[in-house]
Amino acid sequence: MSLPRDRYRQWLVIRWPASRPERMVRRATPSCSATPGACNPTDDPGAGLARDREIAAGLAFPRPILAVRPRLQSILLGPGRCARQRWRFSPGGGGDWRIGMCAGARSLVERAEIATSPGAVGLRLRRRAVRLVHADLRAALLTESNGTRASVCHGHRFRRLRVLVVPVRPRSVGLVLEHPPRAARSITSWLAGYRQSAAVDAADPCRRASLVMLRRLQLQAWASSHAGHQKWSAR
Amino acid sequence: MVRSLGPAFAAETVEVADRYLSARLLDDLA
Repeated sequence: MSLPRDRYRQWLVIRWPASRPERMVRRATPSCSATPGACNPTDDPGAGLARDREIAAGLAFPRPILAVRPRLQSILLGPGRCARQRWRFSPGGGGDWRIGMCAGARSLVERAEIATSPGAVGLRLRRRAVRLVHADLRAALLTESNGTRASVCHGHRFRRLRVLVVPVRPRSVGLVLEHPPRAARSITSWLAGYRQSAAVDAADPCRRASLVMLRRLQLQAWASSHAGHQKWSAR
Repeated sequence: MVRSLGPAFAAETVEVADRYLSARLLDDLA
């Protein structure tokens, strides 16, 4: 499989050495922010990492995770400014999740994909309803250490945010955080934090299982479509 | 890393999908 070179540059990979979790090694090429003016393309990645550490230092379960977001955005956009990202419904945005699945598994996951379609879960693609999906229930943007601390991956500076977090061990963050029992705790924390910043549609918490499933499909698409590529598989 | 992650992640995606669909079914019946 080959992918255009410029496509790699939109991905952010964090390797998290288990023996020294404080040394997160980030490999990323800043391109541009979703919000004009929020990112300097020549921004020093080291400075971003320092900000990540600063943000992570203030986070721990069960504190509301999203409480960090206004702080993060004030750092990126300037004091008092807060912008939200838009959700574009594209479950296969990272590729095709069907790659490598047998017929039985494919059939099962296809039914889950149909069940998570906006119409099936009662989501209208108006901005307010979908922010909760993309920007605020993005469990893949969380990392945790020793099962007690949570931190947020710093990826908001990238135009088309696509993130894969690959700790050396024990398993990927996606596997850990989007899987019970931790998923329920992290989602509860997200909602508590979100309510500090904005109102939550009464129906949104009821949709959380569907939103997590939708996110899982996106991560699956990424992992499947890049599994055979040398640039990633060599690591 | 991604190569080794892929099969494990896919297997778990199938498990998650199964649980998700089962829960949805129970909700629909309730």
